[in-house]
Amino acid sequence: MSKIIYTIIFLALGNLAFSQQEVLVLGETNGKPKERLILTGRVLDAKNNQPIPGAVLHLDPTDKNDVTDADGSFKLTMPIGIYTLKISFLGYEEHIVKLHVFGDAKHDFTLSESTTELVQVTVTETRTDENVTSVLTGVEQMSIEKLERQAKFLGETDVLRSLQSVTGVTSAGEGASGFNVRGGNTDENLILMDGNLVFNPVHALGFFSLFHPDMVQGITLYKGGVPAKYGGRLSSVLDVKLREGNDEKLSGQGGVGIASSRLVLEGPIIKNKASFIVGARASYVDWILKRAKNVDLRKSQAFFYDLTAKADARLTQTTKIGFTAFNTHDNFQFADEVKFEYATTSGSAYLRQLIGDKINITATANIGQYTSNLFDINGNDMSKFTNQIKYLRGGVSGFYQPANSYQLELGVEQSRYNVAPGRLVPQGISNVKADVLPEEKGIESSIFLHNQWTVSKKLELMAGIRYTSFKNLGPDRVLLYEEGMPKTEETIQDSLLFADGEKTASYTGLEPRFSLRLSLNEASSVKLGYNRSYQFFSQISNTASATPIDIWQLSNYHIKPQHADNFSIGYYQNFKENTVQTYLSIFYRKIDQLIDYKDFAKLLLNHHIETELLMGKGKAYGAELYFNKAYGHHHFEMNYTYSRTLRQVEANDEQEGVSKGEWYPSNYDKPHSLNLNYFWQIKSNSSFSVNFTYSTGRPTTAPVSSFSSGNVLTIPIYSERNQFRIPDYHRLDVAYTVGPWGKKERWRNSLTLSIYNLYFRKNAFSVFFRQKPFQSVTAYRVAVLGSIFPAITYDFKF
Amino acid sequence: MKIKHLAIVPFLGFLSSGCIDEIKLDIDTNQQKVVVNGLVSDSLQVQTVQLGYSAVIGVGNDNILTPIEGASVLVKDDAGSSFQFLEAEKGIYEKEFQGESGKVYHLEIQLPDGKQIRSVPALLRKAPEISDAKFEIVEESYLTPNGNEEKNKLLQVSLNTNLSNLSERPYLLWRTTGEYEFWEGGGLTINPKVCYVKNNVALNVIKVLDTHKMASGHLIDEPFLRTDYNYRFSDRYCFHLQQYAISASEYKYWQAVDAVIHIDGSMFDPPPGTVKGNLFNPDDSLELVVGYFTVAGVSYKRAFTDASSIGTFVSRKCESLNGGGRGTECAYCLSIVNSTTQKPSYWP
Repeated sequence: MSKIIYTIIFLALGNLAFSQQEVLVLGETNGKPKERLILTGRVLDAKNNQPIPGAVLHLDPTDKNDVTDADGSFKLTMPIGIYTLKISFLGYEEHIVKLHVFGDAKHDFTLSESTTELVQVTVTETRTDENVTSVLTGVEQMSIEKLERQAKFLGETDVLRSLQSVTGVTSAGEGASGFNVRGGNTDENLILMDGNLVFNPVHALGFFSLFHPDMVQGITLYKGGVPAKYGGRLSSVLDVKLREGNDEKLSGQGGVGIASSRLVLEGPIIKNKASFIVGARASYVDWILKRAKNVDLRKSQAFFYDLTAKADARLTQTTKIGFTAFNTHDNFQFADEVKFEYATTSGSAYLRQLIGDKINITATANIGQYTSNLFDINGNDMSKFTNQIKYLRGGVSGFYQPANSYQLELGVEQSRYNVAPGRLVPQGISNVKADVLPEEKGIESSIFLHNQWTVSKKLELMAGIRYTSFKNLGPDRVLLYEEGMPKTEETIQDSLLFADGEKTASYTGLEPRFSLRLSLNEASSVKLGYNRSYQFFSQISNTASATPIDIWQLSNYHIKPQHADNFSIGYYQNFKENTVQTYLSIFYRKIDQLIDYKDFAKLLLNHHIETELLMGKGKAYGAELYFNKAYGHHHFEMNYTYSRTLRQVEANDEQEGVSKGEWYPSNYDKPHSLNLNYFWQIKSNSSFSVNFTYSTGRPTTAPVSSFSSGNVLTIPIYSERNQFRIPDYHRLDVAYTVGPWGKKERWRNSLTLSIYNLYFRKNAFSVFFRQKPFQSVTAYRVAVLGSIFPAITYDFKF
Repeated sequence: MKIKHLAIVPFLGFLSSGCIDEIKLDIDTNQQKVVVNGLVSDSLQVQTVQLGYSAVIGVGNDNILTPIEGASVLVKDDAGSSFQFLEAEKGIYEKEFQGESGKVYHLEIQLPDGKQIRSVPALLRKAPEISDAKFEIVEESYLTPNGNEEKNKLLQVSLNTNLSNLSERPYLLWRTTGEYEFWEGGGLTINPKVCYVKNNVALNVIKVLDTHKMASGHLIDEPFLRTDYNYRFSDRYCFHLQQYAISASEYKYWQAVDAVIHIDGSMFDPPPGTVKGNLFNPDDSLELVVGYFTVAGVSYKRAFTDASSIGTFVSRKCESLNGGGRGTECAYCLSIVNSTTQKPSYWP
C-alpha cells in the first residue's frame, strides 16, 4: 500500500543469557538509500497504551537525543545504520532496542513501569530540540509533570497558576479571573478543554483553575504563531487536553488538601478497546466557615465543585470515538449582603477516522453553557440577576500527510451562540421591577487551510488561512443615534426592528497565518511569525480584573469585531545537546476596533450598552527571554519579559475620549516580568522546588485634585487613565514532595509540603485612595493574600 | 442591581490573610480644574452657582475651592428669559427666582480670563411629594482591632413617596440636612440653655433612585441614610428632607460620584476616573470642567423624631455617664459650630 513498507522483525534473542535486547529492522530495505532518515513514533505506557510525555530517547553511538511531547511523540534523524536506542522515563524500566535503519520509518515503543528506584530523571516535557526545530513561534507546552513542579497555592497543582511561569503570561494578581497574554485582556484567550469552550476558567474567584489537575494530560499555549484551525480570539489559544482512561484495568488517583480534595477513577469499558475516566473535585471551605467566630463569616458560603468525565473507544483499527463532559459550580455568599454563583456545563464528542496512513478525518461536536447569577439578598432590592451563554459548535477537519516533509489540514467549523445578557427577577418581598435584556444570537462560520512544509533541512514553512463569517441574528431592536454624535440616550433618533432569525449585522474576516523556521545549525534557528485574528465575542468588563458575573457581548450592528495583527521573530539556541534551551523573541501586536469603556460605565442590564462602550485601537510590543536547563537532577528555568500594552481612544470632546485621545497603558500593562524556577529531584521519591516571580505593578489612576459639593461631599478628580502604578508584585514559593511510596501495583502515596508566599509579601491586588482633612491623599493597598500559606497535600494513586 | 464590594470576603475569611494598609505613592496632586456647583429649582428661593478652582490636595482645607471672583454668570431658559447671577460672596453667585417645570435651562459663564463655560440644557421636571419618613434603629456589626465582634446602633431614615399619579416615572435625588436640640448641663452648669444645632447628617451620602426600575408605584420605606444613634436624638431632631426630580444624565452622574467616593479596592470596583458632569468649555471641548449644574424640581418635607418616638433610649450628651458631659459645649452650647439659642419658628 505504501512505498515505505515497514519491515519490523522481532528477533528473539532472549534465549541468549547475555542479552534480551529487542532488534528492529526499520524502513524500506530495498529503497534508494537516503542521507538523512527520519524515525517518528510515540512512546506509550505498556499497560494502557497511554502516551508518555517527557520520555527521553537516546541514540547510540550518536549524540542524538529526543524527548517525547505531550502526545508521546518523538522524532529522530540519522543516516542508514545500526543503532542502540535507549528510552527512559521516571518510574519506568529503561527500554533498550537495537535498530537496523534503512529508511524513514514510524514506530511506537512501550515502557513498563519500574519496580526499582530509577536514577534517570526526566524533567522535560517537549522534545529537547522542539524549541529549535518546530516552525511555530511562541508556543509553550506543559505536561502535567511540569505543572506539578510549579507554584502551589494551598498545595494544589493548578494549570492557570503554572501558566503564569511562561514568558509573556501574567495575571492581575491573586483572586483575578483568567490570565493575560502579552498584555491582552483575559477574554482575548481562546480556552479549550478537549475542544469545549471555557468562558470562565477559574474557581473561587480565581484562586483555583477549573481544570482538574489529575485529568489533564498536557496543555499547549499558542501566544505567537497560531495554527489556522484556531480562531475567535486576539491574544492566544490555550488548548487543554484531557487524558484518556486506562483501558487495561481499574485504577485511580486523588488528593486531599486543606481547601479541597479530588478523586479520579479510570478503567476499561471494553478491555483494550474502550475506556473511561471520571474526575471530581470539591472544596470544603464552607464547612470551615460555619465554624468561624465571626457571625458574618458563619452566614457566608464559599463552595465549588467540578465533575469531568471522558470516554474513548477504538471501534476499529482505524476508527475512534470519544466523549467528554464537564460540569463546574461555584457558590459565594457574604453574610446577608450578597451572593453569587456561576456554573459551566459542557460536552463534546469526536469521531476520528484514519484513511490509509496519510489521511485522517476528525468530526467534532460541542455543546455548552455558562451561567452566572448575582443575588441581592437583603432589603427592598432582593433580586436575582442572571446572564447566560449557550453555544453549539461543530466541525470537520481532514489531515493529510503525503510525505514526512509536508502536512495539510483543511477544515470547517461553525459555532452558534445564544446569549442571554441579563435577566433581573425580584426575590421575596422586593420593590425591584423584573427586567430582561433580549437574547442575542450569533453564528460564526469558518473554513481553514493549514500547510506545513519542510522545504529543506534548514527551512520549514507554515502557511495557513482562515476565513470567518459572523452574523448577528434577530429578533432585535437596534437603536439609531444621531450621525456624528456620541452614542448616548439623548442622541437616540430612531430604531430598526429585525425579525427572529433576520440578520442584524454581518462581518467577515480573512485571517492569514504564517510561520517560518530557518535553522542556522542543529542547535539554533530563527523563526518568523505573523497572524491575524478576529474576535466576534468579547467579555464586557469594567472592573480591576474580569469577574465571573461579567457579560459577554456578540458583535452587532454597533459593536464591530475586534481584530489583531500579531508579528513575532525569535532566535532559538540550544546548548549541550539540547539540554540547555534558550530563546529571545520579539513581538508586536496591533489591534483595531478595541473595546474600551467610558468611566463608570454601567454594563449590567443596560438596554443600549453601546452607549457605554468606546472603540479604540491598541498596540502591544515586547521581548521575551528564556533559559532552561532541563536535564538531570537539577533543573533551572528563567524567563524574563519586557512588554508594553497601550490603548488609544480618540476624542472629539472631553466626554467621549480617554486621556484626551493620547495613548495610555492598558489595565494589564506590566513592563517587566521575571520568573525563576528551580527543581531538584533529590531522589526518585523526593523532590524540592523553588519558584520566584516578579512583575511591575499594574497601572492605576490616582486623584490629582478634589472639590466639594454642597459641603457634604468631597469628590476626587482623577488623573488621566492609568498614569500611575500599584506596587510591584513579587513572591517566593517552595515545595517539598516525598513520594511516591507504596507497593507498585497497589497503592502509591505522596505528600507535598508547599509554602506559598514564603516571605509574607503583601502584594497589592489594587490600590484605592482616601483623603484625610488637611492631608495629602493616602493610598491604600488591598492585598488579597497578605501572609505566608503553608499547606500539606496528600496524593494517592492506585 | 447593586453589587456589594465584599464578595471575596468568604474566601479571605477562610484564609484569614487579606489586608488593607497604607502605602506611599508619588502623585502630583496639584492639577486644578474649574469647578461649577449650581442649582436651579422650581422653589422660590435664592438660586446659587458656586465657581472655583479645585483644591490642591493637602494644602489648607481640601474642601474649600479657590473661589473664582468677577465672573459673569447667566442662566437662560428656552423661553428666552435670562437670569443674571450676582456675586454675593467670593465665588458664590446668587439670584432669587423660581424655575418653572417644563422649561429648559442652561448656564452660561464667562470667567475673568475670558474662558467660557456652558452647561448642557436640561428640562426642569416637577418633583413628587415625600409622603412620609420612617425612623428605626438598625444594628451594624464590626470587628474591633483585636478581632472581637461589636455592634453599633444606627438610626435608619427611610422615605415613602407615591409615584402612581405621575405621568412619567422620575429619577430622584434625595438630600437632607439636620437640626437638633442640645441641652447644656452636667457638672456645675448653672441655668443650662438649649441650643439648636445645624447638622450635616448626610455627609458623604448620595441617594439616587431610578424609579423606572421600581415594581410598584409607591416607594415604601426606601432606605435613605444611616447615621450614628447618639445624643443628637435624645431630644427633638429635625430632618429637612429634599426630593429632587433630576434627569437621567444627572442620575448617572451621581451614581458615578457614589462609585468613585466608595472605591475600596475590591474586585468589583470600577476603575477610578473623573466623574464628568454636564459642563464644558465651548472653545476647548477637551478641557475638563467638573461639577454639575442641576436643573430639578424639588419637594420638601420636615420630619421630627426623638428617642421616645423611636423607642430606644439615648441620654443627652451632657448627662451621659461616660464623661461626655465634661466638654465645653456642656457649659456653653454656642461653642458648637452652627448653633443658635434662637428656637426655629417651625420647632414644636
